[in-house]
Amino acid sequence: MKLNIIRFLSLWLLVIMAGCTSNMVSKKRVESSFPASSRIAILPFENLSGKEKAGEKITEYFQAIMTIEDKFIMTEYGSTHNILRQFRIRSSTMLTDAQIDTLSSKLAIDFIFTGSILEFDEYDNNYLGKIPQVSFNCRLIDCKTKKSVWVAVFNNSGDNGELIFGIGAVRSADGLARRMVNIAVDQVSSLFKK
Amino acid sequence: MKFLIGISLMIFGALAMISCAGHRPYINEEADFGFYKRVGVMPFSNFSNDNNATGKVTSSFVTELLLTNSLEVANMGDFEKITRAILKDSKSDLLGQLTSEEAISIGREAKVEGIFVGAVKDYGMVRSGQEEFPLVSLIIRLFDCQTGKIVWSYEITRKGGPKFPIFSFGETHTIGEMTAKVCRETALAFSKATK
Repeated sequence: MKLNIIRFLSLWLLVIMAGCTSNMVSKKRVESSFPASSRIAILPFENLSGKEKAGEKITEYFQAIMTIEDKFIMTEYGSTHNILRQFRIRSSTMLTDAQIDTLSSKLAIDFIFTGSILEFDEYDNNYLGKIPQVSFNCRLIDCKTKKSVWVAVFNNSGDNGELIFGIGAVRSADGLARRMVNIAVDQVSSLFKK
Repeated sequence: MKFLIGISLMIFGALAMISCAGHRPYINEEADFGFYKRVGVMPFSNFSNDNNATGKVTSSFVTELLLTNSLEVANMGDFEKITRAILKDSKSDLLGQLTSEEAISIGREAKVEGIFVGAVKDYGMVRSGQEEFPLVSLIIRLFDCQTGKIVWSYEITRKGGPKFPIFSFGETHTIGEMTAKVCRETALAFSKATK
């Protein structure tokens, strides 16, 4: 009987874990680990979701969570914003090699972190009230080689983690985005040496 | 009885296979796919009703190409600058309007061996029974920058409904997830052709 309960619980846990992790794909595109204390600047995420301020929100979540990490050093977002304005760099996803060089030298950074938000919305649902859906991709660009050394895609829906009767469901797009950013930052952090 | 079960299983299998069916890509047999190490991606044309569809799908496709780790993708900023300089008159549908000469010139200037052009045919939510599911439909082609010829073409349409009738296995509910799935399938199909 005990064995059956354990089996049932393990199976349930496996299903829940599959539901939570199946919508994230990432790839490190180089063999070596990146040196500790590398400097990273976050560029504003491109907002393709149609939802106002979604770009600012996700950029801010990344900035806040990555600043806490001790494996790399984040530049102040204000400084990055200032350089972007000064050199009229309008799009973070359409960077030219020359713009990467400018950012690298002016901000003294080794990597640029940026991405695009594809979806950031909340949909009505009869049972849960609202179901948030968030989807974004992000990449880490090495300023020396100007290549994307890590890329990732994140898609998630608020009801993915629901166990039963709405327990475990995330009700807001902001909450869901914050959780997804946490996972993304963990993955970025694992690329750097201690 | 056994016969009936057999028939039901065959119908069930056929239905499942229809819903999972992929599209046969066009592959130019003369092309050497091992040659393509660095490619450029043009912003896709938009034939759908969603104004942001082209940005979303192009961004997703570039990310999925990078995820395959089989190609280098030219920086979008530099690539767009070169493209704009070469294509002097703005073209709304690069899929049908890019000439061989232009592809060769862009390839030479941007130092890429191939150029992906594409179009988003459908992008949005469609009603299926009581629910709404995402529908994404794309066509993508690769121009060889040495000859200016199309060497690879892939057309794909996916709807997020259940893979099996009645049961809700494999449903995709969000348009973002469906975009990623469609772009992943396309990028993997290209990656497979290069091996």
